Amino acid sequence: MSFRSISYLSILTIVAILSVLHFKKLSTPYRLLTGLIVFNWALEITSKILAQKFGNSIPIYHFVILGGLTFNLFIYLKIHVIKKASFIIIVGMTILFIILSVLNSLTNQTINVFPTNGIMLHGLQSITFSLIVYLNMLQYPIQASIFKQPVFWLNTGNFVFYGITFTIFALYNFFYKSSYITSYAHWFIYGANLFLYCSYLYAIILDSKTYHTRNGFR
Amino acid sequence: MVSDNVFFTLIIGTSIFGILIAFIVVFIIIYQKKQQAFQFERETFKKSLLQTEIEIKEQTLSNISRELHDNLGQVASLIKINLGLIAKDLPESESDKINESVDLTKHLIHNIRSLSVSLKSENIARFGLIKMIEKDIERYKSIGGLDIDFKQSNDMTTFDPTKEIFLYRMTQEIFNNILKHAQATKVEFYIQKDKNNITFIITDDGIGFDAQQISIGSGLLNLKERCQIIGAEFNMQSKTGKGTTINIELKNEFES
Repeated sequence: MSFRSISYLSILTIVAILSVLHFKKLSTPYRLLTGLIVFNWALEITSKILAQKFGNSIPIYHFVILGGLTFNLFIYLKIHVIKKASFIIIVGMTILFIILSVLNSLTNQTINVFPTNGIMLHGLQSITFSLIVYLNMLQYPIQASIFKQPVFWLNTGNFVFYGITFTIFALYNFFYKSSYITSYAHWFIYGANLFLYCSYLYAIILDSKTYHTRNGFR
Repeated sequence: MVSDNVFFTLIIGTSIFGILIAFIVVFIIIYQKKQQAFQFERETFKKSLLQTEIEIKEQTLSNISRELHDNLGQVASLIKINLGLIAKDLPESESDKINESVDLTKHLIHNIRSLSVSLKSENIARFGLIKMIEKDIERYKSIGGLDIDFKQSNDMTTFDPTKEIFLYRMTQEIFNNILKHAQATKVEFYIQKDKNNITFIITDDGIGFDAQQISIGSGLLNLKERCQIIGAEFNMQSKTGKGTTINIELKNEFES
């Protein structure tokens, strides 16, 4: 395994452990986020085992997308004040993208092909949801500093990571003409991934700090 | 061809990353502006709510004042007259108790009147803020056994009447706190009044308290909020066992 894989897995493991340790103190959306982190961690570990044993871990990524789309749906439905129009967009978009991802895995980019289309759909879903929540935040500002709001970090992590991956996978074929560019893109995704999980962890820590306030002890 | 691709990709990648970061920075700036506007709205709403609450309170106090003066005061006066009449018909040896009751009733009437005056905010415009405070101080001296050293500059500058009502009620609140909680024996009260400012400094030698431990809803927090409404500065210094000093300073925008 490369340095990039080891460091990525180590960070993901640390984030997953810390998130699970905070689980009891978290509100519903951040419990779901912990679920997503653990789900991603489990599939990443499985993908490494499959890659070592069979030399092919690509099928795992088809499930990563479906899991990601579903978790995102429930996280974003619980995370902020959602208007009826936003609710319809969030639910409708997720159902449509799940169907398209399944169709893509069955007919277009089959189980042994890396599902760039599915990743793009997942990216598009996350970016749209992030923008909806950003808009909601502007409509209903709260007194706390923006940097102390877990929703800001969750949203920003998603927005930056999926903004980058969406663009990279949209230009996937073009990138693969040059191995140098591929390497550059991988480093870019690696950096974005680290940012994503650090943002998730920070959001979880911030949310756990509001546990007493939510439960009326403070 | 490859170097062109590398250059092109680098440009695109960096631009996209830049756009994402710029978007987030712009979002943060807009959000903070919205937060400030929201905060301002909340403050304004809170102020108007408090103002209404105080107006209602003033109206209630005014009604109680009228009741005290017109009803209880009159009844007490009738009791005094009746006692006087009874005393006339009795031999001197038996009228002592009655005369004592007449004196007590006179004291009661005096207290009712002075309480009635202090409750009615219109009296501030009639007698002036300082005169009203002086009346109250006499009352505190008689009921609380406090040694109050009251000094004031003789400037006759008038302030915004509404703000004067606030200042007057705040003084009453402070003295109520001293009487109820401070266990003080001596209070120094100094009012410095000039064209531009009015400053109240009230110092007691009571048990004091830890200023960090003031609970929400306490009279002291109400004082702070009232000061905010009229644009006065509120400072309080207190230490357990070392008394309390309260300083209220109001700039006079009425005169200018």
